[in-house]
Parts: sequence; structure tokens; C-alpha cells
Amino acid sequence: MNIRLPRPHFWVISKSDLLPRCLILFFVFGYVFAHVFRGDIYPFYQIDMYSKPFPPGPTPILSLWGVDDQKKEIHLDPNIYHTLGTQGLYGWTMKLYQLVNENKLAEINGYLKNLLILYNQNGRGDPTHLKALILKLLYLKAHKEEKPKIKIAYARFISRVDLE
Amino acid sequence: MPVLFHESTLSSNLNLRFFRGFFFGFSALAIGIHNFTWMRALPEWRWEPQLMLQWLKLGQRPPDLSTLLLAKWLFVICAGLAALGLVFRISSIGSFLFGMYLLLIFQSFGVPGRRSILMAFILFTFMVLGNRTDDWILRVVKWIWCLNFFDAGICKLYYSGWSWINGEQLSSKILWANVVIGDNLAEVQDRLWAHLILMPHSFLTLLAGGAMLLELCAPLALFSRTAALLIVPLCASMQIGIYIFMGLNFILFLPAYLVWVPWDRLYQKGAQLFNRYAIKQ
Repeated sequence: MNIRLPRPHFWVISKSDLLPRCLILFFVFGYVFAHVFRGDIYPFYQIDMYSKPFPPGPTPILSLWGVDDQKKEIHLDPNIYHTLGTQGLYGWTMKLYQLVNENKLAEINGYLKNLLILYNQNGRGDPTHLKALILKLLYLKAHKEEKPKIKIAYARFISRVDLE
Repeated sequence: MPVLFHESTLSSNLNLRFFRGFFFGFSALAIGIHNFTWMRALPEWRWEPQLMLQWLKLGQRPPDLSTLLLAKWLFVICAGLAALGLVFRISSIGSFLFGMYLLLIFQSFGVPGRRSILMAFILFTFMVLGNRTDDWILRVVKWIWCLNFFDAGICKLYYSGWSWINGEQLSSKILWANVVIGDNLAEVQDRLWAHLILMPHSFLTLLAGGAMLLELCAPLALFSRTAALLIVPLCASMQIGIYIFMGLNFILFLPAYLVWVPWDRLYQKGAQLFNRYAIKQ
């Protein structure tokens, strides 16, 4: 007489399967909880900058990038590079982007000068490189959106902002 | 019937052995040809020690070049031995320790880390489960692969919400990536990425939405072979696209993709073809 034993239920875990299952749980915790929501407690920490929103989307994150969104100014904290690394530049460039969209030339002037001061303080290299970088960025933006106002702002921007 | 190539030699853990060989061989090569002198050119303020280095009291200041080179060659030796399956228990532990040290140093200098995390987790898996010959190692690596993409999708949702799929966001990110990486700014408009960001807004939205959907659906590859056949090549194409348009290199993902290849079936097919050809001769 054949006696068919019942198949073990899927949640019955054998002793040898316990370790790999725990490892998977550890990785799920590592990726989804510790990394995404609590990066500060994760020993292998990174800021995922490509996941962050740009203005004019939700902007509270801008304060993290060294930009005070309410006062429309950057924090001139010399340690900002130390705490944020290269990613600090991200917020500044995008903030400038927004100011050009709003055609706020006076603010652009002050903002860019502060940016250059900080840029030089930290030995980031040739400021003309940054100038070229920002101008091309703005030009591309204006060209893409075909907004005459921005094109005019761009022309004014080149003539007015003293970067030297 | 003369059989020159015995299919019966096919062992049950062929997939594991192939993957192990590729993964450790590739890691040894990637780290072996890496030139660490770029770290010396960085200013000291770029040094932000990772938590793990701080716990180990190794984060006070950046390591000197000789320490890095020592760690690099020790890693290459351990990973090389592990690729060949020699003294695997010891070589996998050595690979994890030295590899992890080097990856933490990269991270502490602000080098982006999604690729490093994937490599570190796979090294850790081999260290912990190194002796096993069943398919658990491959299953765990597949989980790591899927979680890596899923995590990227969750990050986007958590920080940006659904607004991330706006085409404007994607074009800004492409700009940002190239502005940092590009050095010849005078010719910026002739570059491939500049043409992409000038594409219609709806097309960019479609691209961004597709990328986010793909990342969030990545875990489905664990539960369905059909889904894996669709998701894995699409993820590879997405990363190739990111490399072309944003300059972000995902080369460290390459060995992890190989975990999805059914090496035993390829071996069997190859053996059948070889035998058929040999018989005709």
C-alpha cells in the first residue's frame, strides 16, 4: 500500500534554508528601508541625486542643497562642500535655472556672484569654466522652450553679469 | 552512436560555477586595471568617511596611495583565486574584506554608489553562503539585482513622487549629468544628449515613465520567467541608454546580469550541436 506523505507547506523553512532567507531579508532592509528612508543609519550611504526633484517641482529638498527657497538666497557656509560634496552645485545650478525662468535678473546677479565666491573658496577650479557651463545651460533651456523672454534674459544676462 | 562530448558531465551547479567565475574574474579585472592616482588629486575636503569606516576607526583621513595599492592587489589575488574556485572559503572572505574597503573609499570620496552597493552585496553573499552548492546563491543574487532596481524606483517615488516622470525633470537630469561630466562646453550643442533634450516633451515623459515603471516592476522577474525575459533585457537597454545620454557607467552591473543566463541549458545545447556536428564528420 502506497502512503503519500503530504507536501510540506511552503512556509515551512528547513534549517539549511534559514541563512539565505535571512540574507534576503537583510538586503530588503538594506535597500528599501535603510537606504531609501533612513540613509543616515545605513553604513553604506549615498545620496541618490537623480531621484531628487528639480524646481519648479516640489522644492523643500532645495534647503538640503544649500539653497533657502523662501529667501531666494544660498547659504554661504564654507563647509557646505564638505557636507554635500559635489552635489551642492546641483541645487545652485537648478536654482539659477528657475530665476532665469522668472526673469529675475537682479537676483541672478547676486546669486551668481555668491556662487562664484563659494566656488573659488573651495578651489573648484577655473571660474570661467563655470561661467561657460551656466551660460550654455541657460541657452539650451531657452532654445528648447522657445521663449523669447528667456532669450532676451539670456542676452541681458551675458551683458550685465560681471563674472570677473 | 559515438559521443564525443558527454552531456552527462553536466553538473547540477554549473550555473553557479559559471556565474562565480565570471563575477570574481570580472571584479578582479575591473579593480586590477583601475588607477587609484585620481584620489590623490582630490582636495581633502572631499573626504566624507562612510559610517562603516568610522566604526572601524579608519575614517580619520584618506588612506595613502601605498595602502590603496596594497588593498587593490590583495583583492585581485583573492578574487582571482575565487574565480578559479581555489581555497574558496578563504578567497571569498578576502575578496569581501578588501573589496569592501576599496568600495568604501570610493564612496567616501563622493563617487556615486548604486553600482558599488550591488558589488558589495554580491561579495557578501559569496562570503556568507560560499560553501553551498545548491541554487541559493544564485537566488540571493537575483534578489539583489531586482532590489537594486526596485530601490531606484522607490527612491524616485519617495523624493519626487509621480512628478519625476515629467519630461522636464528628465531633460534637467540629462543636462545636469552632462554639465558635470562634459569638459568641452563649447561644443555642447552638437552632442547626442543635447539632441535628446530638445525632443518633444511627451516623448521625454514617456521615457521617464517607462524607466520608473520598469524599476518598480523589476521584482516580478523573481517570480515569473516570462517577466524576467522581458524585464532583464529592458533594464540592460535602459542602462545602456543612460550611459549614452548621461555618461553614467554601469559596467559593474555586467556580471550581475549574467546570473539570469541559463548556463546549464546553453551548455546542453552546445554539447548537442557539437555531437551532431562530430557525428556528421
